Amino acid sequence: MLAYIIRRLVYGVVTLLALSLVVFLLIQASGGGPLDRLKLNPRMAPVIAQLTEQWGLDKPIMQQYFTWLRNFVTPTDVASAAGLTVIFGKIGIQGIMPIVTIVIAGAYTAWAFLAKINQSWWRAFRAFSIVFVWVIGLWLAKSRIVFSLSWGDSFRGDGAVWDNIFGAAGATFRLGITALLLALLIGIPLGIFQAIRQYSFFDQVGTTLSFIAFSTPIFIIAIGFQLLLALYLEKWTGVKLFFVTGMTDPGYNDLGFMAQIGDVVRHLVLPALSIALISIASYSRFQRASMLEVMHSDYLRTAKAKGLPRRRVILKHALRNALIPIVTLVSLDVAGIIGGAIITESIFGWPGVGRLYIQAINAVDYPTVMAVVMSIGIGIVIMNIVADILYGVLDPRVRYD
Amino acid sequence: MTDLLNRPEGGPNDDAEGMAVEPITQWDLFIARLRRHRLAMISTIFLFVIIIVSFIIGPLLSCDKGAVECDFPQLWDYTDGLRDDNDRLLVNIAPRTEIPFGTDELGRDVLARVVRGGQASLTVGFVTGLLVASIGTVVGALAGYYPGIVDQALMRFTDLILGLPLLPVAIVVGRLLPELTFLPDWMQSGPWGIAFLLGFLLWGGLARIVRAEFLSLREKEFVEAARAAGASDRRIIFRHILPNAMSPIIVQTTLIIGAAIIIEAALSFLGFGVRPPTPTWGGMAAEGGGVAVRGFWWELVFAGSALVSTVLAVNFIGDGLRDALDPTQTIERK
Repeated sequence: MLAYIIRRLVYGVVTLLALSLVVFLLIQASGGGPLDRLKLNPRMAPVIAQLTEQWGLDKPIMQQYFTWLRNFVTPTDVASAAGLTVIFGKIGIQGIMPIVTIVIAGAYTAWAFLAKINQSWWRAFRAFSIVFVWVIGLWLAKSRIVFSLSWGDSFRGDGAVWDNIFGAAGATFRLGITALLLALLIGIPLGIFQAIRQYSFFDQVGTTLSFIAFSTPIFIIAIGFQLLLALYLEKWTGVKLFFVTGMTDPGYNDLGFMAQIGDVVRHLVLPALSIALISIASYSRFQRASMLEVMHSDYLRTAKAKGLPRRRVILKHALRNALIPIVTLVSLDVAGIIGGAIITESIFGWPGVGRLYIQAINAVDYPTVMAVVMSIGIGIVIMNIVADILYGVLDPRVRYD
Repeated sequence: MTDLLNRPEGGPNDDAEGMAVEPITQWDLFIARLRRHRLAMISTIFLFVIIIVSFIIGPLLSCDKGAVECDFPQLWDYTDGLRDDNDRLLVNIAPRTEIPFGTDELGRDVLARVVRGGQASLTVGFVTGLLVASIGTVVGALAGYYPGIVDQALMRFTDLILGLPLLPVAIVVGRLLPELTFLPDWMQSGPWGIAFLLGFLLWGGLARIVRAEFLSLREKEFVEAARAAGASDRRIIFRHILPNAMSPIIVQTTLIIGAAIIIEAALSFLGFGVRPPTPTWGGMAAEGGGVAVRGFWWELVFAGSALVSTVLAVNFIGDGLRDALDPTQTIERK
């Protein structure tokens, strides 16, 4: 198991190196540099010379690449990185912690439920580890220990790339996690009901809608939501239900607590739903297929034959086994959600990593482009490994070799 | 032909001994199963119409600016805006009888551009599908047939491709494509460059599927027999194993065609897909989305519907093929 994880990590690192090299060389090959615009002005010559020197643009390409690579993995402040703080960045840790805790607690609960683990030591560890994560997180937040990698400065002159990315990461997390939760909470029950009532009207409608969702680009979904559920809804009924730009209102800080929650939700629903729609379609299709497969199995016929109530057969015998394959699907869907976030954030003016990426690409801001691509690549590599491990944990038939 | 699947034993075609004289081939069964899938049949016809309109009628009716002399009415010029009698641009005109789909923000006829835009979108879809099918099949077949070092090397490479974050990479490469001067002109702009980009990013899944098929098929008795009869590796791979592995390849390729059209639309929306003035459905829907806020809904609706219905048709065909190519499936579907 450990050997398997290590091997996968090595492959992951190779993938990331290849990714960085390809993107780097493509950027170099495209010729046009960030200084092109300045070159139009003859008086800018000394500035250009200075910036070329400062950013190392006059060096050979491979040397530039290795400089970039060395910087990419080097902490800015080695002394602080020597501590325990390597994992948590300069991110608003207070913002990340609840999410981390929820994810870990949820994963533990699902794991224990599906793997039928009931040993007391395991329950103790489970309960303890949630507290453990909280304490570490609070301690990090309080002690203000910061850590950052030297990802360089943005070519757009808006500060360090690391700060920009992790400043935006919170917004993307909020959007992505909400979309994922929506997709799970809607998609899985939808698939289960479709499987239970196979070939019914509900099943047919669900299948057709899934196909339509699959066949629609996410930007059309997002623009459609904006137009129908925000703009025209307000125009026709006078009800302003959802907002279509940003994460919060400008006057957010003056609102009361409940009003603040309402404000956040009304900003969050439309972009999250736009991202979630395609995932809802794929989860429900997948869940339906997996449920149908289980329902035609021998052990389910046994359960029915011995006279168990239908509810118990479905919930206890069928559902538990039918949920296993979807774990992999969800972990692999992270790439899709990130892709959806890139487009949706640009449409809804959501200040996340996706919008930062598009802005950086438009402004030929290479350090930011490289850093965002690599961050997303790292996230996907990790999620792929997690998916494989989780699948093996949930399904004892899977073996690692 | 009409009801091969339900043909009773001892039918009208049988001879005196009750033996069937007319053999039912796999192909007959495939066609019979496909005809059962009504949506797939309708989708096939629809897609056929769309292809004819985009690739034959579109280029015939509309004329490129600067090309040979144009005898066609101005209505069908998709590069230039329409003008009224006083030579003013007819900007954002709502659909009416002479201009059934209205005009866009530059006064161009939306109908002409929708007809013309299918060409780029479909080219991206089909070229990507072709590339994915060929790369994925060759890589998967070699990896599945030759275990050991070939398999290892090819599969690690496949893992690498599958590990790439699709959309971010497509965006950055799509952005840089016109500036990559070492590429030939036809790849720098227009649908072919995007199709090659997507083709090289999307073949990983198919390669894995083909490899799995080959791994199981190469142990079968008929392959053993072919090998004993002295068939060469190439003959075994292409004549004996590949035909038996065709169904997942066809189904997966169909799905890739739909996905490629959608990804191209997303790239066009961000401005990194097929560059204007070449119209694509994705780019038009994006433009239409911009003006729809001001109430000019038609470009978004017409271009969007063309895009969604075409991809939907492709996906329905894929679904129908999946059912029809599955020999274990009998007559369960209603």
